[in-house]
Amino acid sequence: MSTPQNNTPRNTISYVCDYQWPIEVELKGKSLIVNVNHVGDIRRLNDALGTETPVQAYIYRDAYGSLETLDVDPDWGDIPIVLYLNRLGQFRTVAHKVEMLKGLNVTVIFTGEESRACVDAQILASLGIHSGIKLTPDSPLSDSVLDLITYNFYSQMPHADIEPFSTMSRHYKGENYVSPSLLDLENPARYLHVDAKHRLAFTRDDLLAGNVLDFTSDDATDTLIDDAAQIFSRRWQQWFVESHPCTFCPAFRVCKGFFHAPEKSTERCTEVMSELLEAIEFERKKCENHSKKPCQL
Amino acid sequence: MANILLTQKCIRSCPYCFARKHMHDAPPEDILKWEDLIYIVDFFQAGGDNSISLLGGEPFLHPEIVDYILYIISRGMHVTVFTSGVVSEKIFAQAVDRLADVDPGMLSFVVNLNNPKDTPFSENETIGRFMATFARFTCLSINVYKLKFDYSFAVAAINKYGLQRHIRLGLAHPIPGKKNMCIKPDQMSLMATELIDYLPTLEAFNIRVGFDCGVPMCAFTDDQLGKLFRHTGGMMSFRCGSAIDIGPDMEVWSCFPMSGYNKKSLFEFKNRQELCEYFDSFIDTVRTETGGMYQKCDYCDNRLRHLCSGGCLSHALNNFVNEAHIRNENVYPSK
Ligand code: SF4
Ligand code: SF4
Ligand code: SF4
Repeated sequence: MSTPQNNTPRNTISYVCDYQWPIEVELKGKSLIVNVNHVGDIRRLNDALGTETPVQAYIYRDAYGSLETLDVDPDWGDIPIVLYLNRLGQFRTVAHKVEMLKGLNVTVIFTGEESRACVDAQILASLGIHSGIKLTPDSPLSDSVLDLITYNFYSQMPHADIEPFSTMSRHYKGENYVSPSLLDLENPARYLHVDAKHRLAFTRDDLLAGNVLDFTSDDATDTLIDDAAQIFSRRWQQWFVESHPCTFCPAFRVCKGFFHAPEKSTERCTEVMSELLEAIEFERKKCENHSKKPCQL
Repeated sequence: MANILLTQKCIRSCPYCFARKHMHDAPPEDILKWEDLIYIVDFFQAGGDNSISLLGGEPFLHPEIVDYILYIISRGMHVTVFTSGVVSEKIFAQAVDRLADVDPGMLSFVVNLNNPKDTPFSENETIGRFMATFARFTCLSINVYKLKFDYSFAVAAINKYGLQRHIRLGLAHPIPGKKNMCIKPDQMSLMATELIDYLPTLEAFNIRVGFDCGVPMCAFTDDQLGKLFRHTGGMMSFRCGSAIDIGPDMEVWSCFPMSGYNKKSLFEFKNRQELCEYFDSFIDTVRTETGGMYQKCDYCDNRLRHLCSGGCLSHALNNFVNEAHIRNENVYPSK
């Protein structure tokens, strides 16, 4: 899954929507990211939308499902798909899908128990399949996460990207701020979440809570979106004004308080996210030294 | 070539077992984890290896062995599994379900077979089931651990189950300081004569033997060496191999008889080259103390011409254990 850089021009904005209303008609011509309820919908919908309504990614979530039991459709071809699944399942059952998955444009993010998710993501990445884990503000950030960070950035063997670390690394430029929420499509430079009433917000949570912008997808212009994005961005800038504890954290650049909760110790998140920052800096320097182009997903 | 011990547990108790020390010291929950497997595969693939061996203990006691085999194959590496063939119903069903269709170019089983007469009936049944099912992947390995060794059970098994017509013949080696059954240095010539006498029977069934590491060349007369040359097509070796064994806890050593010496963690090495250099230098240290298992190895022309390594180092190390500790400290087992 690609989440573009903060200086991306406005005309590349993508609308994140659920496939529960006639988006083929009502969002026709817009760049979309579509949450689907059934994997079987992906190819049908993609055919229906055609080239006129480009889709950056189809996202399918199954909080209890595994890759083992998921029907992977070999005809997905190049369609960009992100699967949020609880776990890999038994590798012996997944093994025969490996070659097929490598030929598709699929990213698999594991959402189950953290240490299992980390191992599952590492297995797939080591086989060349783009993978990742879902971090949430409640994530325990066990040593497995540290191991996965180490594997993603320091392993000598080539492997596929592991999210959210790779996307965060790609977007981090040394002076800007990134966060694991990039994986939740929270990036005002690039994503607007839209509902069936055409209401807009910069995050899914805001959209669901009714914290919507004062214009809709029908009357959105680049200027309106720009102005709203600036106000949204100032949300976390306000933390500095208020001397929020997270702003004293050495890892704030790659977290923006993602793991913050009142009464919660910041010791572990600071430790893990500082390791992540160091790894991202390491990769940046490596890329600079090799004048390598950042990978384009 | 890396040998990965998926677990150090084993349900058998072979009299010659050179891994017995590990079996006994191992905590029961000691099994190789996924993340460590990936690390090992990365480590050796980056070093240019294209094959990995899985062993134990009994590797089929690892609950995810079938998954691990398929993972390593998915990484493009050949897998050789060294097993007793004693496999639980559950894992056997998984293996039948998932491995029967694997390309035999990517997977081999080496069944370490003991004489069925010395094996409980139920074990023989289970081993037979394994060999019958995976015959096309399987060759036999037998460990010669006493004189008057009966080779006929191996021939019978190959014929009965249609296994590959090749036997890996290993000599049981001593564990320095321990008492396992093995061929003593002064019994090597008798062992060699018994084997050569059995070659015509093997050849009558078109079965060839190949030596595992550590067989001393001088156990055979020139005439016997000629027969062996013809039998193996010249593919005979009297070398001390340089395999690397990795335990489920990521400890690494150079081979089972050496497992009590100079153990390290795999994480201490940057790459395969550094790892191999470390253990080669350890073996060189031992070799400067002794040419081989016999005193005559020190000046042996065969050794100087690299035709023979002087037998298994474990024989020499075994002698050192019992003498005054006046040598390089590396030749004594780690505390
Ligand atoms: S203390 Fe640091 S790591 Fe923890 S939530 Fe705040 S910014 Fe993030
Ligand atoms: S010391 Fe050499 S001959 Fe003995 S088991 Fe190890 S590799 Fe084989
Ligand atoms: S090196 Fe030692 S074991 Fe080998 S042939 Fe010579 S004397 Fe025999």
